Amino acid sequence: MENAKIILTAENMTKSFGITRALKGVPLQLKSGEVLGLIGENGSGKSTLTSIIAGIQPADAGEIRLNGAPYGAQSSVEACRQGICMILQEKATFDHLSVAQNIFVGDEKRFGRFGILDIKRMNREAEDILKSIGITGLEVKKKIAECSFEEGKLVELARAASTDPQILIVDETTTALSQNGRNILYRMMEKMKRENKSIIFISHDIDEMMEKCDRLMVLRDGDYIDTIGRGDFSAARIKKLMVGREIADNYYREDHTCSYDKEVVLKLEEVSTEHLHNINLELHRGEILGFSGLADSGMHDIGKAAFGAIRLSSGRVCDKDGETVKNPQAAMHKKIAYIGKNRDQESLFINSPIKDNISVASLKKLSKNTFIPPRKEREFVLEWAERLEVKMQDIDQYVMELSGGNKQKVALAKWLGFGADIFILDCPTRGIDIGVKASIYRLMENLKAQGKSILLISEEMPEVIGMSDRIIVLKDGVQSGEFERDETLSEHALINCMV
Amino acid sequence: MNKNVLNIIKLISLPIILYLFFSISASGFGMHSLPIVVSQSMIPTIMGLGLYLMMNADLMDLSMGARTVFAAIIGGIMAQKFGVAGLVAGCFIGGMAVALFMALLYRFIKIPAMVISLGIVLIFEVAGAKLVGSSGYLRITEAEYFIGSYPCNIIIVFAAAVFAYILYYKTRVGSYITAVGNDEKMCKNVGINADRIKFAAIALTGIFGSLSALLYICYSGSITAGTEMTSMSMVFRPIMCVILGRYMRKQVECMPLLIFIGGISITIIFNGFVALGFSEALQDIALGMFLIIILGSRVITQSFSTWKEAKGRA
Ligand SMILES: Nc1ncnc2c1ncn2[C@@H]1O[C@H](COP(=O)(O)OP(=O)(O)OP(=O)(O)O)[C@@H](O)[C@H]1O
Ligand SMILES: [Mg+2]
Repeated sequence: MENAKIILTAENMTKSFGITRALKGVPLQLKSGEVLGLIGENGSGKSTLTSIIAGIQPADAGEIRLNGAPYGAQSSVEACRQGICMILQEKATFDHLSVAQNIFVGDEKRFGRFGILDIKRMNREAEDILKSIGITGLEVKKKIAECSFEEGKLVELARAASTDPQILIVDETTTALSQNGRNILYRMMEKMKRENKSIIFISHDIDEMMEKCDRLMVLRDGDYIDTIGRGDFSAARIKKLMVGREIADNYYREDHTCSYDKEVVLKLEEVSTEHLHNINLELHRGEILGFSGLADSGMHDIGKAAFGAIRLSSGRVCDKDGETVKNPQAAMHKKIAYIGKNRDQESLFINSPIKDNISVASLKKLSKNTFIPPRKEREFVLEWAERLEVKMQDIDQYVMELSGGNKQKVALAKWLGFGADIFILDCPTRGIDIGVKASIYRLMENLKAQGKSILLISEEMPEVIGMSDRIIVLKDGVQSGEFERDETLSEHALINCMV
Repeated sequence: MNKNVLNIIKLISLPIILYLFFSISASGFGMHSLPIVVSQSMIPTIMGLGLYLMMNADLMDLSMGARTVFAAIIGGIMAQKFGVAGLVAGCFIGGMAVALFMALLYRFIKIPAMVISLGIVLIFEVAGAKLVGSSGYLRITEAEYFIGSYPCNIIIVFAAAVFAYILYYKTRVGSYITAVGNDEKMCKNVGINADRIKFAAIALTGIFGSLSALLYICYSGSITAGTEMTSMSMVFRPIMCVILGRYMRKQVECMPLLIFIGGISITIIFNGFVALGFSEALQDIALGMFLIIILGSRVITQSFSTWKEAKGRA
């Protein structure tokens, strides 16, 4: 490994967007057969750097060499042809095309002549690719619109695999995947490593990074900070490099007792949906109720059902007065807020300023005789943008221009600012860096202390264990276990109930 | 497979139910109306096939009628010199030329397609009227218009539908048009040139515009060049066909068939209303209601079932 060949070098990479200096002369070296981790806070320039390498956008200055020769792909297609392929942080599948068409999009030439495609062969090859990376049960003729969010990401994995790249860039993909999906990705990465190919891996999960990467390169505010080898990995050191100061180690709740009021504020009675069967549960005042399970366990449906956002085949959801929560409008009226897993696509107006995105849910609260005082609105937006540490030029910047994690923060700010009594949080820290993660956990504790209630649905078991008063584990749409907050509770106990 | 067949039967039942309904309720509507309905739905269907290309790429077009009329005029003029061959060639030359012109305009001035299509309406209505001359009227002989009348029209529409099917589902440009309609920015990331694809989408509508011109002039054997946007009224039925077709695609993914079912259904309704003696205003209102009911039927059935559930519990 030590003297492995260097296949890609970048020097002095520089990129600005208006007054934002996203990259300030960053270098990068990638060896063959290694996983290089890129780590840094939201907006530190990870996606910018890698998307330049993948030909998606040009750099302002800097030089890249691939296998010793100057490299400067003008488009992602060209990069792909030269063996560099990237799985984007943002969604990159077309809703109205089939799974197979999405896998081969941009590369259809091989399936026919004169622009007419051999769809049968395309479907067959798509099936082969899915099978080769271990994805089963995904119908290749299905449209992406009918697929789940995770399936869409898996299709992007398959697309990358189909091009058989020399260098694969994985930008913040794991948090969009369940454990099963992650294993598929990890297996793919291991196989590439064995074939002496290389991977640039981006994630905010430090444990994951330490486990999967051979070297870690740290960025901060567009500056290159340091690269550390596997032998020198330590969580504390990495965090310090990322943030530039010491970070407390345990950022979950300090107390170890399960505590909440007797009053029930939300109740699911015999709720069944496509993925859930006869779920009964009660959420209490001041309680953080956690949900854990595998991707197909139906846990994401719990949040949607509680918010009235999906059709129940039977049962009902009711509030503390016994009134049914029929639809999202009714839910919002009852001061219930829902922050979905796929929030950056479902709940943001990408082509609008941050200001409008954060204030939109709270306009009623802000308005005075139907008019909205601009000063009040700006103050409100600023307060929440600052509490979530959104990295931006100002609140008039368009959400489209923010880094992936900062988009997530805007979506969170919108709902937290709305000031609900019940928060349904589906993977609230997805794509968010450790510093801000900690502030989100503090915020949750504050909400609890104020007597608000939280339904916490998460793929991250430490998060569920660290924050919840009670944890419900789901398996195949039914409750398979329930745990109370306890110092000794381990991930192992939860996993036993999941599988 | 079985499920698809079942779904197709379900969809075909829409025009059948409408047909039976009007046969029973209107004395002037019945067996004898069938050929009229079929031949009247040909033009909206063909225009709809073209329109779908643009609507799928997220472009709106109001010029299909004007383009049809203009191409038909060119066809009519050429028919006077070269007979049937001139008619067919003229329709194609006219239809393709306007579509290309529109595609170029869109490509180079980059304003919304709907605005451009309005410009096209204004320009080509006037151009057509100028070509026809002071009579405002152009006639072709029976020896020429057989090519677009029954049963040739059915063959033409069928062929166009098959062509459209291949174009939508089996070609690269077809899937790229869908991709562009989905998300232009994402297209860039996978190396699709969105501007070029939109150009192609508009240009390809020329084929359907040409065919609808052929059917249009042959339908009555003559053509009137209208100005002041009279051709706009021709586009509403095709737009409805596409909207209805798009709505039904949840059942079967075969847009040409769905557009045809949409075309037949809407034509039955129009004729049925006429047979019932509805005034034009009343026809429009009833048609609007029909569309709302069909498109809203999912919501209605849903609320009905929740209402039933709620009642059952009480
Ligand atoms: N198209 C753009 N227009 C304006 N600013 C941009 C654009 N793309 C990125 N930026 C800015 O560049 C900076 C770096 O963004 P980048 O997406 O590289 O961050 P990141 O490290 O990937 O963060 P995250 O962990 O949130 O994904 C951010 O401040 C972002 O707002
Ligand atoms: Mg990023």
